[in-house]
Amino acid sequence: MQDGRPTEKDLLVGPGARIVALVEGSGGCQVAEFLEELAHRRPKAFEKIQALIRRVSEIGPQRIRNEEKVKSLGDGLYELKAHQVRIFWCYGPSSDGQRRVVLLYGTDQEEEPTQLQGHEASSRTQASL
Amino acid sequence: MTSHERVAELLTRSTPGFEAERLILEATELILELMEDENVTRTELAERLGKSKGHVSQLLNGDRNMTLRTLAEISYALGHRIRVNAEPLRARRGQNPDEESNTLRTALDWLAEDIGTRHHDLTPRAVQAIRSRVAKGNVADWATARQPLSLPTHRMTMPGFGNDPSAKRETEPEAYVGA
Repeated sequence: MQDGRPTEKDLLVGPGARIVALVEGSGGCQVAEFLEELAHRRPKAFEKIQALIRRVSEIGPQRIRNEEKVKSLGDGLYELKAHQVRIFWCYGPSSDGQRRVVLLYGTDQEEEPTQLQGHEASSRTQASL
Repeated sequence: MTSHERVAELLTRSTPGFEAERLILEATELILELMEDENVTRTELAERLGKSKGHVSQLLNGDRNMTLRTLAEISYALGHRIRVNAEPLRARRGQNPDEESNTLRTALDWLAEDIGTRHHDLTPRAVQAIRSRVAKGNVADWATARQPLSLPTHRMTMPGFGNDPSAKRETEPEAYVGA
């Protein structure tokens, strides 16, 4: 982690997918900090995205039928969406045959009217993986 | 404790609010699955319900509260009946019941996929057999829950369900899927 390369940390392991958070080379973990802050600031919004993340870990992102909730943004970048909260993510390499969902960046539309910043940040982070 | 460790804890935490959101998500996903199976679009479902497409979309996205009555009406419009069941939140025998139920759900999904059907078309006896198998195993053994299910034919049987020569039977072995 200290060599400047991003790493991953387990958040949730389920039969459908392993959910990991991206830890940047600096040691920061935006998505974890975002979710933690959301849980304290807007618990109802957190519960919505928590339910979606848990569901993804249970059955895998490919089996979520609501395309509004799990959407491909192209170039291997995806988003989880629960009301005003978006988590950008991509698939990570897997050595054990289990799907790895790498959470890259989170945004809350209530706080940030535009999603462009999150999308761009996620694309940059994804490219560095 | 680092931020990601705290979030890992938060994500596995069960609260009344989370359970409500989980139920909403499961219900809306089930409706979408039924719509897919029945080849019904949101517009068609709205017409059958006498509601606008926007109303249906709000329900399916979880943005509008769905009453039990509405859920029943939607499932009826899709030619199905909703059943309700409950499971304990508290752990049994050192297991996390969430993980146990996830294991069961995944095992059932795989079984259904293996034989080309849907989870809810499995017979109660097949579901109970898988439930027992999962309950006996460790929750980490979810991958092995599938292994004995990878059987070659559609009308397959399980030990104790037809393959067991000591079992007395008067009828053909029960298949996983109702005829």
